[in-house]
Amino acid sequence: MSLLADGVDLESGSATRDRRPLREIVPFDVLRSTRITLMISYGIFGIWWFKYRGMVWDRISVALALFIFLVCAFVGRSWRQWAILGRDVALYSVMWLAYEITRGAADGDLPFGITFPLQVQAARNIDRFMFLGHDMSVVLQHHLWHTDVRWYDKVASCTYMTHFVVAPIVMGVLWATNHREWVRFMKRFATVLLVSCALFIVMPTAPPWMTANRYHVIDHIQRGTGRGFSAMGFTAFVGDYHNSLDWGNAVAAMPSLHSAFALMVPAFFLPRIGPVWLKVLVLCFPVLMLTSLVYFGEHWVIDGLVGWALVGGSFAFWGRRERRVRELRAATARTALA
Amino acid sequence: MTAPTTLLDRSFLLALAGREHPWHDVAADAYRELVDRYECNRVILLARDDHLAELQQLRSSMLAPVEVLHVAAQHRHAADEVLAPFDDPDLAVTLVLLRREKICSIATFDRRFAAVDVDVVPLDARGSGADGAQHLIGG
Repeated sequence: MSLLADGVDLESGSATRDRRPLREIVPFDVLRSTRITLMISYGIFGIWWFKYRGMVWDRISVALALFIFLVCAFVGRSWRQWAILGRDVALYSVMWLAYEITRGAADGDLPFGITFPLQVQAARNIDRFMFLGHDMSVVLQHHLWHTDVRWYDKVASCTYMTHFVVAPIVMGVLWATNHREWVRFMKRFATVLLVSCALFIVMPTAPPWMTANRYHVIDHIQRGTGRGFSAMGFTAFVGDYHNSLDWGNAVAAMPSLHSAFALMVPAFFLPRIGPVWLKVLVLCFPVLMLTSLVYFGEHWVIDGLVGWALVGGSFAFWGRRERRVRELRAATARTALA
Repeated sequence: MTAPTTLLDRSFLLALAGREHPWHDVAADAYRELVDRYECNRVILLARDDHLAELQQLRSSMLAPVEVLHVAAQHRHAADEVLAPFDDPDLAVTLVLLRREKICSIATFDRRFAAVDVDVVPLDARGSGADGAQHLIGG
């Protein structure tokens, strides 16, 4: 085996000291500029759509929006990368389809006549234990809810709505920029979704608004997740959103996926954030989300805490598994080297 | 968190695989360090698919930590435009991959990489830049 055959110049003596940047040697990638231009244009179009047509929020619209973004991001890439993208899109679609079907089935359509009792009091009792006998949704609405929309209604409404877009945007950006990181994110995300579906089935839980307005266990609760949005001029979205509530599973409250996703995105990027104050600021987002959910009567506090625990468990599980795989491969390599 | 990437070049892989290779020990020492860093998630090891094809029998043993980097037609077309003195087809493809896949460093014994502004791992591990190259090649 000759090193010279590999292009190694043993005879030349000294190495070249003038090191040329790669950009001077490798030709400019025109298609990369095309991709960036397309993605920026798509982003501007998305903002326009959001402003004048309403927020893209339902599963199918979000999937389509994501697909168009990925087409922009993959222009000029290899057939292999397109094939990998096709496989990923299929898996992504199956994941959401399974989630929607299971979530729907949990609403009383389980096979073989299997039913699980609706939990009306359980989550409330845990909340009352944690908060010394208070129902936090009732307390918050008693102090903060007014007929006119206040600034914090807008903040809470915006925070609530981010659930429908933040995670898909993160998925899209990771997909386009770093497939390895996308895989890491999706493993954690799918695990949370899977366990949540199982809990939706075995533990259908009435949210605070249902406990109040249908079962009259607690004082009346106003529902208004979209009213802050309406006040900001996004009426088209709110109209669509209310239609969608007729199709959702109203008793899929435990755990809160709003809370889980709100923690998942910051938690995933936390190791890349340097300043401690910024880490703390980023982690305020899931707290703000849970506060908004409780204020709107959409979730009990315990729903959110279980959602966070699921995220923690998913990150711990996959972190441990990925570490174990690295250790095994490293040990295999060392053994072969010995 | 994404670890930096290191590409194992063909010269490095051949030295690592060949126990009779004059630089095998140097390659093995450098690779042990890389594997230690890989285990701590401080580096991602990559190698070109066409280079790994020559060492298929080591994929599940010595090269278990190494991820495959597929060379696409786009990379080969871009490599055709790489200018002299880097216009050797194999070298040119590697340079294209280094830039387009944003690879941070390369493990190689090929001196031509000393002329490129890219971190060369075995050299940098034992001294920096050209002096390190001199030391390594000196044995």
